Amino acid sequence: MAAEYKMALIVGSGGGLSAALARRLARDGVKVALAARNTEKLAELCRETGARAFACDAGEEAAVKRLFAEVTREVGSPDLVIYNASYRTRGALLSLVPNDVALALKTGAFGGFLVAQEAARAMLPKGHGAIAFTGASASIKGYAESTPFAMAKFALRGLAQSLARELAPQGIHVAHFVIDGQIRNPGRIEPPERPDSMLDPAAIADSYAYVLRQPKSAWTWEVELRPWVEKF
Amino acid sequence: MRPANFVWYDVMTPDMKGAEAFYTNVIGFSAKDSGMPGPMWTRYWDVDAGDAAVARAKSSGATLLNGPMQVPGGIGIANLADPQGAMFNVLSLVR
Repeated sequence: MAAEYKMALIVGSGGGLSAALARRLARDGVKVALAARNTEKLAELCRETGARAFACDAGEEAAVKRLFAEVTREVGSPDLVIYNASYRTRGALLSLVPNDVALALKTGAFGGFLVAQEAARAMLPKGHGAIAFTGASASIKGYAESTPFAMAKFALRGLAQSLARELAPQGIHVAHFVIDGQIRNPGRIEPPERPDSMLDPAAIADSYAYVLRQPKSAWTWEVELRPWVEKF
Repeated sequence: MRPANFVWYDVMTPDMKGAEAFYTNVIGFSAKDSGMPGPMWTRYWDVDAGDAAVARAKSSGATLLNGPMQVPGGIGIANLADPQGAMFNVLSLVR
């Protein structure tokens, strides 16, 4: 029988993939909580999906602990947690500012660890739940002038794979999604002569929903999604 | 090096409101002010390593007009003029 999740927490929420995930989950009858550094931008999405928004800096231990306490008190204990946060910065090696690189690692990778730890704390006693991580091309390919993002995304993938092995026997489905391409969003659309050359966030959300419905006899730990223009 | 694609288009116009009305009517675009003069369309070539592309362009005789700079989302952009003076633009995304 497929797992059924009742309460989802999406950490790292904005207008693109996270919004499509929130809409999809809400449509499937899942209660949704959204966490972001800036929650003002989430008001419209909350109205549309009935989600609740919580302010949180995912790279800070105390902030993540507080987030889980607030979400549990005000919405419920999440049995599905999606880590979607990242900090994007790029540049040639000698131009990079070390503090920016540290922030990329903190938000993109260490925050994933903090959130997974709190998620597992809530899920393990019940022996039920799922933790999903959003990866990127940089999860498996380190591009030139993209060292901060590549370091963070490689690390997040390592966390996800290690946790999938550790937590699957304890009833928790861990899945990593390699989003290998640009995601379409309201401020970024593909040129008209190359239709569907960017990933449709609703199509990505369909894949999350499919994987997260899998029965535990046939769990996926990693999925790669790419539009037709991407080479691999 | 992979062949680059055009991925990004800006329209430069001295009449922001007029252009917005025009493009919203004609092709359903919404507008955002870039602060650049016009009128013209700016197309950006998508390159993997933007800083290296700018360095290659300069060493091949191009003039750097603006950038390279990072815009929100970690997107790197630069505006250049080729040796004949024609403006071209490159963009690199965090991927």
